[in-house]
Amino acid sequence: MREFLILFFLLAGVFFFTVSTIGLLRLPDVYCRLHANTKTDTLGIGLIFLSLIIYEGLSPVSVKLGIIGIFTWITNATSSHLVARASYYTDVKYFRGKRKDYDHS
Amino acid sequence: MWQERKREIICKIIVLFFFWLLISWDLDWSNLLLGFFFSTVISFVMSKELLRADESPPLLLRSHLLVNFVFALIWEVIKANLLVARIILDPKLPISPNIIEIPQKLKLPVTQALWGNSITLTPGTLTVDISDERILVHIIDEEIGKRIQQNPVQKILLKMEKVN
Repeated sequence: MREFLILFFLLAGVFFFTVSTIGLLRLPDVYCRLHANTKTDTLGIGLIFLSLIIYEGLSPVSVKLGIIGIFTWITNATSSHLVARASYYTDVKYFRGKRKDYDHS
Repeated sequence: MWQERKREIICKIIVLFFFWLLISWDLDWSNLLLGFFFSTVISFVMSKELLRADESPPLLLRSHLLVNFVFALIWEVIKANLLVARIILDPKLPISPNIIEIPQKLKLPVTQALWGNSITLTPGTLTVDISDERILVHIIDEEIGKRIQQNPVQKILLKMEKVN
């Protein structure tokens, strides 16, 4: 049962990381790519750390993993906000509207 | 003035020292001494920049709201992931991005920061800029923009501001 849970969470985390990488390649501009990275990465990291914590049991290592997990959640949101803000104020071009308008760009 | 500053520095030393203990997980005396030394030096050097202490209601009064907030946020993150994953894996890539402006309802800097980060973590929205009057939000799909204001996280944060 425990092995099953570990494997399940680990695979789910890897799945979300894969989705985030695919999104990075597919989406058209900075802001959309940030969407893919922040959201799927946070859950990916959370799930992988959860599986590691289950694997490790109640020990110092799991406490540290928990702290690192919380930090990645905070820093992920903050740093993506920074990138978005910087690109907004330096007038980086962004796409708006329906997808067909920029299908071949 | 000096009294206040001293209190702030001592608070910082305690916080940093406990954090050091949590990370190093070692009660050897040399380790404790090293941690105490570094937390003292850092609190004095960074006394202006790091961890500014503001007057606020006691944490106990808000702790249940804080727990509510964390669980609501985790739920929103899971929903966000499923939504974004569906958009990315869709062969047609159904996005209609835009940058919109929504009014800022929160007043305290702490809750504003929490709300900004929550927007970034919730479905299809990304905080671009934040001020006392408005928040600039990048949305990945037009429909999502209309739903930002009904986010349960914001309600919890508004309640948190009222506790006094």
